[in-house]
Amino acid sequence: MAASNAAAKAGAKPNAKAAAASQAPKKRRPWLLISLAMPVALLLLPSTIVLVVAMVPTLVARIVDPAPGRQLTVTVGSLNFAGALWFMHDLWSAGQGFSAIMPTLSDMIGWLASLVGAGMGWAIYSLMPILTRSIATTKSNLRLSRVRKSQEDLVEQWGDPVRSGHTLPGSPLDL
Amino acid sequence: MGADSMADNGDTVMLRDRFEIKPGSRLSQFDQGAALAYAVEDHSQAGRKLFALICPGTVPCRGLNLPERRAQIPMLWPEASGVVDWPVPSPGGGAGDGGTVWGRRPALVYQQPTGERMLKDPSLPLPTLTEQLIARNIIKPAMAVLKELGNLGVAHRAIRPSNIYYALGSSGEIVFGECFAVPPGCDQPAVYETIENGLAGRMGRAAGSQADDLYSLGVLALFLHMGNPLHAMSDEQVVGAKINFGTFSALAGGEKVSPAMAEMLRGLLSDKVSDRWTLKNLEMWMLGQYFNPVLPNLPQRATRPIRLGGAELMNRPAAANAMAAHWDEALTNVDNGTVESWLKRGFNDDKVAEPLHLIKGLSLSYGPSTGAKHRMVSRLIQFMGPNLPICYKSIRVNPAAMGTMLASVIDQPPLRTEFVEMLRGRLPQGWVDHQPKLTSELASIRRTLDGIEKVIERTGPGYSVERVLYELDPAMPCRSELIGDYYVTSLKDLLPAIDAALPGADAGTLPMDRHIAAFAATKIARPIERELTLFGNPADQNGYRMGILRLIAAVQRQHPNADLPRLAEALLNLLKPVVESFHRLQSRSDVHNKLERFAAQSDFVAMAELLDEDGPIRQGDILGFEQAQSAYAELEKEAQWLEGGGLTNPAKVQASARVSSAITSAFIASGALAAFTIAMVL
Repeated sequence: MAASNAAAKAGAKPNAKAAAASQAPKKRRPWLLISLAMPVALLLLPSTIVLVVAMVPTLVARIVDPAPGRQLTVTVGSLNFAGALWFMHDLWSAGQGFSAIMPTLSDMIGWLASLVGAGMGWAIYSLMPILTRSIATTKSNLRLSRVRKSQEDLVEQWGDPVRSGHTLPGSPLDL
Repeated sequence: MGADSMADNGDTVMLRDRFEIKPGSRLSQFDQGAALAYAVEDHSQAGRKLFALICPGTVPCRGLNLPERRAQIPMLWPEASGVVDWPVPSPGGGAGDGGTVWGRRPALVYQQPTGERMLKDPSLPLPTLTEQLIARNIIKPAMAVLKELGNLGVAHRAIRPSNIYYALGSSGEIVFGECFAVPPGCDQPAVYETIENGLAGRMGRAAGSQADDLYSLGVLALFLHMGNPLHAMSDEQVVGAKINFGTFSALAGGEKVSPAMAEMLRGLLSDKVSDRWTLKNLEMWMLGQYFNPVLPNLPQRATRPIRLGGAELMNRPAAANAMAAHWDEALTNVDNGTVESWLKRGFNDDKVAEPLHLIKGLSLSYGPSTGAKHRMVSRLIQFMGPNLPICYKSIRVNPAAMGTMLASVIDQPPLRTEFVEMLRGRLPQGWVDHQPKLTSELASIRRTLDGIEKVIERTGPGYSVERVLYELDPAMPCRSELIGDYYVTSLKDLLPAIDAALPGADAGTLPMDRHIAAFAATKIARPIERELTLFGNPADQNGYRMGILRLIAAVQRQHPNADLPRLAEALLNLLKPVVESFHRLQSRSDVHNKLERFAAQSDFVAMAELLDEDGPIRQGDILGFEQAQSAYAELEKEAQWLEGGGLTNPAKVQASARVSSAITSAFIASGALAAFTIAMVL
């Protein structure tokens, strides 16, 4: 029994190894980022705490963003982070100590900046399809007219038969 | 061509800028068979009495390229010869004035004989001459004529009373008539012809040699001395009598002649060519030398007769002659075994079964299956009478004269069919095989037949019976419906003739037909298989038209001629669809312009090269078109993709929008971070 299990394991090994090899980099990357970011986060712990609090809209976006690529998270997060820089400015101006965390988070303007940033992200994410569709339609029309023009040029140069197969004119004797 | 010059000069026809032949002034008393006589005026020596014979345009005229005569002889000899413009009957009956159009015909100009014809009408009796008068007035001038003709390498083949003139008045010395206007022997009564040629059709008689002339001279001398006892007989009966008794006995009819005269007549009328007197024998006889009498060479007699055509026949050649004359009866007798039985029992020859078996096998092996019985009869005639001409249904032809014979039947579909059947059945080859001795002439005929065998079975233009016509006789004029009236015998004259004929032809007439293609194929030095194949496939119209152009170009390549405007115009019209078949519209225009330029120079070779299917222009056009088609298809695919929402697909737009928004936000954030950093640093 043990021998058969061992054989089964041995037989399963190559596939498992191949799957692990293909998935390993993807799995390792977040941990790599976390392991790189963690010392910085611990070193700048007050800033990290303020940033985490200010980036709550981004966490929400991450939760509601099921699409691969997490573009909603990136969109909202980027502008949320830009808005959160107000808090960072306050915190770092106050010496970046634990005591400055609460006064910083009490700044209404900072919250306004952070939330407006996040809101702008949401707005861009929502409006961008309309803009993209419009651009795509224009681009499609331009490209289609270019294609049709090229086809007309070919017909002008080679005649109608270029549209289909080799249909040559064959007429009876008409001297 | 001369047709233009004719129109300018009204009804004047000039030969060598000296002899004016008058088409409106007939001299029928000098007609020579199918060659009609017209008055002639000599512009260099006024007052001379001349006449011109206008020869038929359907057969070669041997008077056109005669060697220079070395001595004056008592014979009408052409003063001048050449091909002249001549009014010929219009094919449609109304294209020209009075139903005639201008064509070209061989013309031979002669001085008018001062005496009368020896025999004006065949129904009249011949004059009777004594032995001395025959020797002095007939044999002596005949020897001079035959000697000179012998030196020139030609035979007279028209020695008969109706073609002999008296030098003065209606008796005395004679002048032999001309012999170059019509094919050799074609107007000879059968009795003046040897057994070999007597049974042949008028146009199926061999050109022959001096031996044939000496034979005719013998017949003439005998008739002038003793009269013609066979005048009431048919040709078949005359030949039959000659076969059964030998020519001398048959013609003399038991009449007594002097030993000297009999000696000469027996010598001249020997049916065996090798025994026949030559000119030298005749000269010696005139000098008084005696010769051993030539004994008749009679065929083996059968122990019992065979009944054919109401007569009882006792030897093979006579039976063969009767079979040829009574074809249907011969078919029946061959079919029911009567002939085979007679050949076995009549000659007590059991070995005859073997050649008969071979004849049966050959008859079944070659030619269409429906004519096997006819071929059997024909081959039996060859076996039984090898000295007779080839006989097949209505055709009676000496193999050496198959060209002129075919020329005479090619426009008569039933006879033409019989002639083709004869060739396909390899009957001429059989005739050659049955000859007792293979002479150089027979070897030459054999070579010609071998060449014909390759083309007769092919039906396309440039082959078939038309090609056979020109292969059989290289001097044969082209019989094309378009240029048949122009007496074209050489490739050099072909294109000018077409150029001259086109304006008078019906609209849409092509400058090429089966006869022209066959005529050109016989004479063009390089292979033109491809051209003939193209011309033979009218289903591919462009290839067909290119075939015509390439054939004409091949002729022009061999005989350059840059003055063919009407042919060039006809070709331009003909080639319009070929030009239209170029895919690239600009190429069509370019090619058309170039063609017009080449046509203006009558440069058909350049036209053919320009439109060549394998040439760079055509190949470039084909390749370019294929690429253009492919490019069009690609563009169409792209257009359909775009029209099908290739760029505006909602899912794609959504995905693109998400990425765009992420990038935009990241970009703005980057800007903000940069500003923050700068603010913090400052």
